[in-house]
Amino acid sequence: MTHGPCKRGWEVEAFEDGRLSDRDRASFERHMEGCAHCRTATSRLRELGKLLESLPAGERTDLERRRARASLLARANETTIGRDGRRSSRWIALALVPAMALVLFLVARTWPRTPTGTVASTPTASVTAVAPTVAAPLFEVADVDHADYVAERADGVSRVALRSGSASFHVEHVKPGARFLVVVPDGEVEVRGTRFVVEVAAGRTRSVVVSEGVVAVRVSGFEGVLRAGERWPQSPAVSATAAPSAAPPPASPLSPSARTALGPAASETSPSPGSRFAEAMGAYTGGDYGEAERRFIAFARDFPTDTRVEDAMFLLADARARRGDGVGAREAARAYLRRFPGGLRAQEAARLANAPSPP
Amino acid sequence: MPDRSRTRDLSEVPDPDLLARIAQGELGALGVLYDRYERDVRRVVARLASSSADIDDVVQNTFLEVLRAAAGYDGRPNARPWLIGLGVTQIRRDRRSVSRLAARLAAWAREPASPPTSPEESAVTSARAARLRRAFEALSTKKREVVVLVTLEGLSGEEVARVLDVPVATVWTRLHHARKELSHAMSQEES
Repeated sequence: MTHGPCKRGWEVEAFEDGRLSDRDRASFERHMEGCAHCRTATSRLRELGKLLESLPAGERTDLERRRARASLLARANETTIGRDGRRSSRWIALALVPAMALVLFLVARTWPRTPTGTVASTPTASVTAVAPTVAAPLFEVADVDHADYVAERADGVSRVALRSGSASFHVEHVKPGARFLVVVPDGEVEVRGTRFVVEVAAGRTRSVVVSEGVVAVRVSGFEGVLRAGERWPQSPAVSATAAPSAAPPPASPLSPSARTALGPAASETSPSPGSRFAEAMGAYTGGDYGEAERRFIAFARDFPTDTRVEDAMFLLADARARRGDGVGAREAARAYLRRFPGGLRAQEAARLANAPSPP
Repeated sequence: MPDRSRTRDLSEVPDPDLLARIAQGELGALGVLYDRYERDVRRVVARLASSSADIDDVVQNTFLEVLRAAAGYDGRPNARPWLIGLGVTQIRRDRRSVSRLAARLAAWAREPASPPTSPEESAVTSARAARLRRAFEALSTKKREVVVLVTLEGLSGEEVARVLDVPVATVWTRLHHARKELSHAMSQEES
């Protein structure tokens, strides 16, 4: 974009951008009538603008837009409620402080002294050690695959007892003195503000996968810390050696290929849900339905509150149907309908869920 | 229970009133604002985001940010430039996330060059559009921002200056250099 041989060449851009006064604009229009250079420069600038309009603009369908709108309002609602909830619990906690101080003072004067030096080692014992004025952490649990769980919040402790199935957890920051525990049949998982998935089958923990934050794992004789992107066990083979006496798991509702897929591949450690969903869609549109199935499962597990989980769960059913896994497709479609009974793909999912078995 | 007639009424409500309602926690007003400006915000985000994979996340976060920022809205009759400003801020925030860089680069590498916009489009035009896209992607972030906001979205220099928090003169300077680079890249490829 040079000004060229004409002294008024600089005015071309100003003219196009609306930076000239009415008087200067009229003057420049008169000038252009007799100046081929400025006329050419103006038309080139306009052509450039037209070409720029051809740049991709991220178009999407009305259905996608409606779905994103519904998801936005749901998230906005959660944000609003969460904010108010935290505010009110803070006020309640503040109001309770003087009352609790009085109670503790009276108890300390009258209660017999207990031996010191013991460390709480069980979830129940650790609950009693928490000051009751601390608010129990806020958390979300999402059913990834037939999760059977009970959740409770009391006395500064949020606890989810996961009996079987796979569930995803998102925990807000856990304040000092408060705790968040996932109690599994063979141990417990304790966190400090994170996202993770726990899978339990046949009375023992199959896997713990962490997508954000840090998690302390104490299950099946293993004790250690997992950080974002890490999982326990490191591979299905390690799982077998970690608990050799454990009974074999019953048939999982997930197909064998899906079960083995629960460990993240290298590219699945990407923290961006957009990239992860795009990868799954790439496999799906490319016809690699086995890979798509694996990635949709991992996506729903790692980003349970993402807007695209609904798509992921439906497309998981569809991918299974396309690769001939009728049973798996029906199970996935039913899982979709349980979670999204009024979902945008409910009709199609119902058709898949009720599809007749092949002869 | 949501009042549908009220939602219908909201579609006629001016932007400043909508934002005042959002600031009071009225989610129906947020939905109406989304209906009004989602396409505009999405277009800007699509053209400024480094990877198409992040577009949905950034657009959602932009409208969620409205919940927080609505109380400070300055009352301008048209909220479009303000929303686009929130979108640009989200893109910048997203871009700063180092952990996303690798994934974004990988996604970018996989993305094919854009196909012609229609089958009728001539080979010459589509080739030029592809050249322009390459040149556009080679621009610095700052230059891309002004090209999108001024040339494609038609925001005034003052509006863009407010969105980007720079003097108006800087907007025009960046735009001038961006055009120069684009024209140069196009003419070089053609020769």
